[in-house]
This record gives sequence, C-alpha cells and structure tokens, in this order.
Amino acid sequence: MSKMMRFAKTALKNLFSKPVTTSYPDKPYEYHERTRGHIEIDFENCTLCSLCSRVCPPRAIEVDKRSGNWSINNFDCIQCGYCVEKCVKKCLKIVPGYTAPASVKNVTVLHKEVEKKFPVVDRELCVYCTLCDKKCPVQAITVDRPNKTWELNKQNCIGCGLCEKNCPKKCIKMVM
Amino acid sequence: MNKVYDPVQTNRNVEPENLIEEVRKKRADGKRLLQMFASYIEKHYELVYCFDEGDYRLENIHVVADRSTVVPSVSDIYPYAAPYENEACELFGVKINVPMDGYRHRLYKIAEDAPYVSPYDHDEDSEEHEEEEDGE
Amino acid sequence: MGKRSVIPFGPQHPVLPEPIHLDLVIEDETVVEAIPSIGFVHRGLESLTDKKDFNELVYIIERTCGICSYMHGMGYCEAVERVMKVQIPDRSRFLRTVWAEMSRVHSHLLWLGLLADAFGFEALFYQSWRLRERVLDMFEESTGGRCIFSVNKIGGQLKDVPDDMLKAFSVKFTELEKEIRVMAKTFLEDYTVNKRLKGVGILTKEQALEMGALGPFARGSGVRYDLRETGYAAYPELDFEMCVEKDGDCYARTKVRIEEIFQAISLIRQAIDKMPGGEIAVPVKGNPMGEYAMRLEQPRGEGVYYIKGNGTKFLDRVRLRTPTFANIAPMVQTLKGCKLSDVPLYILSIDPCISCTER
Repeated sequence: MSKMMRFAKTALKNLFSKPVTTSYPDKPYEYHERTRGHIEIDFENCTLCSLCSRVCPPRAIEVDKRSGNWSINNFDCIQCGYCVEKCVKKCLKIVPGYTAPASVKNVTVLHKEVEKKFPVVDRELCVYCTLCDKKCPVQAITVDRPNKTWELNKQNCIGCGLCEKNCPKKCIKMVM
Repeated sequence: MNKVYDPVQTNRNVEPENLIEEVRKKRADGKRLLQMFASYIEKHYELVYCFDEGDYRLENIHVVADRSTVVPSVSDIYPYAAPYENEACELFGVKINVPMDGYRHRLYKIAEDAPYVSPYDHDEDSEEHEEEEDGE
Repeated sequence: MGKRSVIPFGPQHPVLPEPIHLDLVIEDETVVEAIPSIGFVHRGLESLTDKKDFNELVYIIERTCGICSYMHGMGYCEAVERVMKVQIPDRSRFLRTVWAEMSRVHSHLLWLGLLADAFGFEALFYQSWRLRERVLDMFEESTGGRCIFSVNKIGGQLKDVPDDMLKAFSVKFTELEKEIRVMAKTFLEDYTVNKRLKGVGILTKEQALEMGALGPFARGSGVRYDLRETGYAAYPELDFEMCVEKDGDCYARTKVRIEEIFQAISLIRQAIDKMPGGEIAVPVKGNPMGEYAMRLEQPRGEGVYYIKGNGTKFLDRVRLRTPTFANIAPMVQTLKGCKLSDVPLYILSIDPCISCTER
C-alpha cells in the first residue's frame, strides 16, 4: 500500500501553484538574442553578387543583376543561416522574430542600380600564387603558375570581390 | 577513462553468384548484419552489405550488378534483412527474389515504381529507346 | 479456434504517435500477426545528392527529423571529416558532446511523456514535457533554434558558447536532475504503472541478438552494445557506465532510459568542467574522395552514416540507416500474442521515429 499514489504529492503541489504556461498572443514572448527568426539585409553595402542565392538550400533568395532586384520569399526560408555565413560584404544578418502568418505567401523585393565590376590585376606585383583561382566560387579566374598567365572569364564572373579580399599581395582591384 | 575500441573498416568485392556462400559463412561465425542498401551509379547497381565483426569492427561486402542481373535474397539466412531488400527493390528497382508474403507485396506505399532511378533509364530495355539512342 | 479479422491500425490514430501503418490480424482480442508498411512521410532526401554540394547537404540532413536532428548533422559531418582526413579542434569535440547529450536528455523526456499518455496517465505526460521545456530553452539560448540547431559544419561548429553561459547550464542541469528524480519515482514505483509495464512485451536476449535489435530496446534485454565505447567526439576522456537490464519487458526498457537521462546529465557536467579553450573550426579544402561508414549512438540506438565521394563537390551516395528501421522487425515479433489494447504501448517501447526511417 505504500507504493500507491506516488504522484499525489506532486499533484497537490501543482494544484496550489501558478500556471506554468504563458498566455502567448496576449503577452508577447521575449526571444533570446541568438534566436533565428528571419533574414534582414543592409542593402547599402550589397553588390548584388548573387552568392547568397546560389547557396540557399530551398532557393528562397533570388538575385537578378541585370534588373537590379534582390528578393526573398520569407515563407520558403528555413532559417538555416548559410547565406549569412557566405556573404562577402557581411550585409546579411538573421534576427529574432518569426514571419507572421498570412493568407498569401508574400515576397520582399528590393531594387538598386549597380554597375558590374570586374577584377583587374597589377602584373608587376602578382606572384601567381593561384589563391584567387582557388577561392573563386564560379571558377572565372585561371592562373598558370609555371607559364605565369592570369586569365579572367568575364561571362562567368559575378563581381563578388572574393579575389580582391584574399589576394596576399593586394594586387587585384575591382573596377567597372 | 574507459576502454576504447578501435572501429576498423574493411571493404571487399564479391560476385553475385558467390554472395549466398559468403553470407552463409558469416552466419555460421555468428556475425550480425547491420544494413544493406543499393546505390545507382552510372547505370549499374552497387549493393553493399555491412557486417559487424565483433568489438565494433565492420566489414562491407560490395556486389556490382546490372539492371538485368537477378540477385539472390539473403532473407532465409538473416530473416530481418527483408525490409532492407524490400527497400532496394521498391525504390531502386533491383531484381531480388524477396519473399513478399511477409509484407503483402508492398512495404513502401508510394505511387511510383523505382523513383530513385531516373525515368529515362526505365525504358532502356525496350527497342524503341535503343533506336533513338543509336540515332543520336 | 475463434474467428480471425484484420484491423488496420493506420497512420492516423488518436493514440499512435508516429505515422506507421500496421495490419493487425486478431483472433478474439489477441493479436496473432502484424504486417507493417511505411512510406507516408517519404521525401526522397537521399536523391538530393546530385543537386546540392556536400557543404549544403548538412542543412538538408539535419532536417530529416525534429527529435534526433543534431545527431544526424553530427554523424554526417564526422563521416565527411573522416573521409577527408580533417582533424577538428578539441573545443569543437567537447561542444559536440555537450549538445549531443542534451539531445539525448530531451529525447528521452519526450518519450517518457508519450509513454505516460499511452497508458492513460496524462498528468505525468504534462510533467515530463514541462521539464523538457527547460532543455529546449537552453538550446534556444545557445544555438538559436529549439529543435533544429544549424550549428554543425564540416570542420567544426558555427557558433561558440561563452563560458559563463556553460556554467549557468551546469547549474540549471543540477536543479533539473532533482526534479526528474521526483518524477522518475512515479514511473518506477507506482502500483498502477507497474501493473501496466511489468511482464509485458518480453524479448529474450537470444531473440534480440537474432533479430538485430538495437539501442535501449536491446539493452533492456541484456545485450551489451553501446557505440559510445568506440571513442568518437570527446567520449574517451569522460567516464560513463553502460546501462543494461536483464528482464526484457517494457519496465526494463523504461528503467534503461531513465538511467540514461541521469548518466547524460553527469556526462554534460563532466564535459563542461573539462572544456578546453581555443578555436571551434578549421578550414576545409578540396572535395571528398573515398567511402566511410560512421556509426553513432543516437537516443534510439545505433545510426550508420555511409558516404561515398568521387572527387567532385557532389557526393555519389549518402545513406542514413536509422535505428528504428532495424527495430521494426523485432517489434513485430513482440506483438504476437498480446492484447489489442496493449498494441500502442509495444509500438512506443521501441521509441519509433518514422520520419527518420523513411527519409
């Protein structure tokens, strides 16, 4: 008989204490600072290089350089944070606050006119270390170390600036 | 500090005809079948059978088969291999003689047959497709 | 001999926690045979290998399941790291252990709640999930998400946890342990709960070995098999004892899981005390070439992560074998001869996670 009603003490204690749940929509929830809610962009610094669009797993971000549009479909976004990690200019960030429910999936579109920039190398400073070749995400630069050649495929280049950032001799510049 | 076992892995290739003999030897030694799965790489199947050799060591047996080879089933030796073989059969289209009574002929209730293999490869056996390929 | 009829116990049912379909052949309230079938949550995740490169696949593989999501990401990253021969830093190994054991605690608390719901004790279900909320709050504070964390990457971790936050976690786990001990008394000693769990669903040790049972399902029957002994992540430097029971009934499996919660809390405290400083990730160059099968101890058993690379950035084959897939055959074996009202209890005692099973 001593093994009966083991739960009675907990049940009595819960009867006389406050409820554990909060009345959520009436009382707003305070998110932690690291909560991944939605993506925000600092559009001033964006160069529309489209790297975020290439790495997004569900393809929620779309970037069109010719018409100058950067758009994100907030309902498709899975809040993984991969675009934040890959952005070259570090203008994307993921902040607390989930997308509010709506009856139609809306897409946020931002517009900006941007001139496409291409990398140009200073031949005297370049040592043909091939680092720009390895870092280019679309394989637009070809460097041949024995023959000392540096070639750019303009059609593939997306103007992201990773080559300029990674050059140890600082001999690459992005120009119009 | 606990004793740490070193999980060594070995791989071996085996022909489809010798598969049943190798699996019988494993059963006689008391080894456990961990998993079995199929891959579809460049128009042929590769079946992998993983065995646990005791002390957390692994041995993987690879069997390469065409789309038309009939692979013998190991479910009479290891009865719990039936779900794995059903999965290879229904998702990839590997030809295995699985005893289907245990699962009423269908483990995965999905609409298409062999969805992991691209639909262009399904009709390879038919003559019309061969003529088209020659023409291209 | 009574009359036989077939009852479909379908993917939607008020007491069934997971979408599995069973055709039960019954004869006057006793189940004679059970025929399973799956495929209701099949998403074909393994066929995405030719569309996403191996770095992006981490995010896809993590989203296979909501309960065991961290271990899937960790297993995939460890497999790719072994193929590419990358050595991750020490702090990253310890952080992986801490998050993995926290995953185990939250998964077992969830299971205890579902078990209480299955035998009709709803108040105990709410108590378990109330304690689980504290663990989920800790996840949100350190990683940003309650169920899906997105902190794994090939070569280490994406986010670092500051040391004062880790010390606060250690204190919170000490308080949580006291409350779980009070609740565990009800599960293990109460008269009505014992009547429902003891002596039912027996799987002997020989049957477990022959049918390939895994995880706490097999450890409740006396099989000594726990993958944490192979020494991945930070386990070689921590002390732990395997929890094994002999009886093989539902009560033994409950006891194994409750002991594992306390063992996981002790492992978390040890790892936080021994946490080294330093960086949390190393850069990774090149593409994977070769194959490897990594094995982990998930909350439900042994998971195998097999990858095969061919030198390009798209992998040839990724295969996850989750423990529930291997446990379905022995579960069907234990269903023979039980009463119809006990069927949900037996399905729950393997801790099914069907969305892991059919990726």
